[in-house]
Amino acid sequence: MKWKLACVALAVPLAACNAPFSNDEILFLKAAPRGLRIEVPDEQGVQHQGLRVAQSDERTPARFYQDTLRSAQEANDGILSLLDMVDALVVLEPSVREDDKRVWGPLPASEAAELALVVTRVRTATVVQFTSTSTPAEADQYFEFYMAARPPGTGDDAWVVLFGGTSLPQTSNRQGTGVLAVDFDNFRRFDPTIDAAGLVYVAYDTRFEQTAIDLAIDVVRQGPFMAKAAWAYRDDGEGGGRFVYYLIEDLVPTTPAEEILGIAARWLPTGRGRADVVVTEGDVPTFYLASECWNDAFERVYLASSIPTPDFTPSGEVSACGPDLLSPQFPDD
Amino acid sequence: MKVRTIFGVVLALSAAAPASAAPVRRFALLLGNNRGGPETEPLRYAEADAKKVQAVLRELGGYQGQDVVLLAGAPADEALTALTALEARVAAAKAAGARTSLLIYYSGHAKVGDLLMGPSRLDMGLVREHLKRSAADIKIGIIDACESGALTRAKGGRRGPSFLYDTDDREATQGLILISSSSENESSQESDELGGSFFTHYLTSGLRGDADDSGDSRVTLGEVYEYTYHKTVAVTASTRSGVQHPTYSYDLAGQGDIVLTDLSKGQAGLLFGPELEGRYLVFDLGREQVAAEISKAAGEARSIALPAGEYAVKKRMQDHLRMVRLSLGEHGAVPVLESRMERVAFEDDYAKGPILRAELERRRRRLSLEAQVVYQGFLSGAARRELFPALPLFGATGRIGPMLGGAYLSLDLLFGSRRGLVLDLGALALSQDFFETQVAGSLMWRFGGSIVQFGVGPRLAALYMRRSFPFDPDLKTQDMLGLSPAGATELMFFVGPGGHVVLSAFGRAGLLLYSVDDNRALAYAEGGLTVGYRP
Repeated sequence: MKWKLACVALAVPLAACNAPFSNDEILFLKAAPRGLRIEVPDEQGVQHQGLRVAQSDERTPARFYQDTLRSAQEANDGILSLLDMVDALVVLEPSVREDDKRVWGPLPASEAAELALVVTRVRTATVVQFTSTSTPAEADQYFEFYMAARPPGTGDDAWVVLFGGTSLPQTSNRQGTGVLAVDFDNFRRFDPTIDAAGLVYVAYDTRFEQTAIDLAIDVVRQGPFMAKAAWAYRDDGEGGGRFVYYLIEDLVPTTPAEEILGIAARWLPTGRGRADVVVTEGDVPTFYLASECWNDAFERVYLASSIPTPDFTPSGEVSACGPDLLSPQFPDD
Repeated sequence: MKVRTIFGVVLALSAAAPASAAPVRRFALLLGNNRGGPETEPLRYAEADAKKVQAVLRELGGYQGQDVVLLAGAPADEALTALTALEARVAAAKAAGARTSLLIYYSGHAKVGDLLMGPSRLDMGLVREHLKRSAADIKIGIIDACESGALTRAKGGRRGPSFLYDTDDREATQGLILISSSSENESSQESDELGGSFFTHYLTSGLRGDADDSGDSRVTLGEVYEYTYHKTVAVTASTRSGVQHPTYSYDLAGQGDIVLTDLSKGQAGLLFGPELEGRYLVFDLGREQVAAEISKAAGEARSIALPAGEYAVKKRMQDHLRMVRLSLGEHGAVPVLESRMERVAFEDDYAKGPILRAELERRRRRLSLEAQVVYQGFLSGAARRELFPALPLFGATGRIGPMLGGAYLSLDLLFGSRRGLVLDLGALALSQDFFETQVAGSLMWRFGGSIVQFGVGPRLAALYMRRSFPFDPDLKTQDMLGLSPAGATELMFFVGPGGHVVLSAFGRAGLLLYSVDDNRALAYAEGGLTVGYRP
């Protein structure tokens, strides 16, 4: 602090008062993913773009749109918000600065835990493709990172990894690509109120002004890759996007058997969009198919359902979806 | 002591010897050459010295105008041609029944027995032979040059009685006498203060009267030689080049000393009364040169003969000068009065020759203030992409000098910035704003004249570099302070009235020691221009 005060007092640019003049400082800071968000347009967002269409009371809110928005918010507020822990640490000066390693922390985060972020550089030429739709990237180095926690006052042996992965930072503003795994079992050791378990895998690619995020939820630790839920989010960088999610759950209470729900939603920059739904397995011996279109005010303008129910009574004409959204794109497409 | 003894004997003998002599017609060839050809530094005053001798011979030595030939900057063959022509005229005068004398004076470079006259050489032995063969009754050779003792060596003359010319009734003296300004291996030195060589300065001062020990208003060869010898030895003993010993040899017959100047022939002069004591320089303000020097003790009077004109007499004290301006008319002696001399600071000395004035001007410490624009670029492409982009800098330069061994101290304060640059780290590319401040000092040694100078010297800069990332809130501003040794060259022009406007073009090459991510010495180059004012 005295040093900072001296810099201000001198009011001359003759003393180095800021961060070190270091490219490594930038690369390590950018290595851990931050600010990942699934951006499904909502009323507020579209209003901000000045495209809001007055909503009439007679109209019905789009049910599958609301499911899509809710799922995106759950992902943002749950898994992806954990990455905000990175923000809390990297505002500090690194406690370890080595040629190929930076450590931030330990930082007391609560009465139960203190945190540390460790980033190491791997100087190996490689080609990476972390999401299913990423453009392969060549790099002469990449970074490995992990966020660890331990009870306050314990030794180095007490560190456990909360999440960690591999990344390739690229361009400004938190853009890059990488993959990480979040271990909720370890999280629960420090916060028993967390009701999640197992591993969550997140692959992301925010390069080229577009965002791709793949999530796999509640992955079984051993055996074949199995997830209780999965998300795949893509935006086109211009306000339009696509969000596909699967859920394995007992949705139809006739028997305890679990059904598979798949929803594929896509939208235009104006907010207008379409969701195509498929339910199968469990108590649905064949396929249940449904499609819904909504307008710029997120009101249902078209609904088709292979099994009509009181909540899902077909309505409207498909032409109301608009020329870009006439055709269904089910999750398997 | 040796000189005094020999000439003392000569004078003693001359006093007892009768002599009778016809009027003498005097001829002189005066050679001055500032240039000595390759491997020699040009002299400043050799040609001026020859002119001083010419003036004193004409005014006080009885030399007629047409009988004194002055060649300034002439090559050896031209000098020999002039000597041959003059010898013919001497022979003609001799045949007509006149007693004659021939004096050859040379001021310039000499080496290994040769007079260096520009790119040509003239063998001193040949000069000696010419004098020996000359029909003149009295032949005098005076060489004011380095290693001029070669003229007098192996002369084989004898210590005979001195001779006089048309001064009394003693037997006329005949023969050859050679005088050199230095011994064989010594340097002959010039003085900016005196505006000439030490030797010729004392030679002409002595001839103008300061060597007139006898007070008979005639300066003889013995008197002026003894005076010149002692003054030259005394003054050069404390110079950087070392003491300088004038030498002589002679081959004379007859009796009587040789009178070189007759102060009574001078129609005007300065009179230094008995109350004055010390060393006085008489400066000819019109010709901008030292005309004479008087060194005297209290209680004796001394006069020097000078042509009409404006003069300044100055006496150097420990921390100032005492000076007086005097105007000499065509006739009469003007007394120098201590009471009329005023105190003058060294820097206000108004009696300086043009060369000394120019030299002092060159040495005068001056301050200049200049605006500077410079373009800086690191030689490594990777360094430019990843660390320090090429950058224009603007600022000011202050210079003061000469100081510290003739060097000029320069201080630079520069600023530069560029916005929206791409920081290219390979996979990671960022937009950055870059800023640099440079504070630097350099010592430049300059060469050249008053209008164009070339400078070279070392430079040490403190560089403050800062980069910020306005579109990336995650990244903090980064900065560093580095030291950079460099070498600098500059070409400077001083233009406009008084050379007050300073223009310069410069180039610099330096190393910046970068030790944050790794240890690297990054080379960079700078080039730019300055324009400014020098009071």
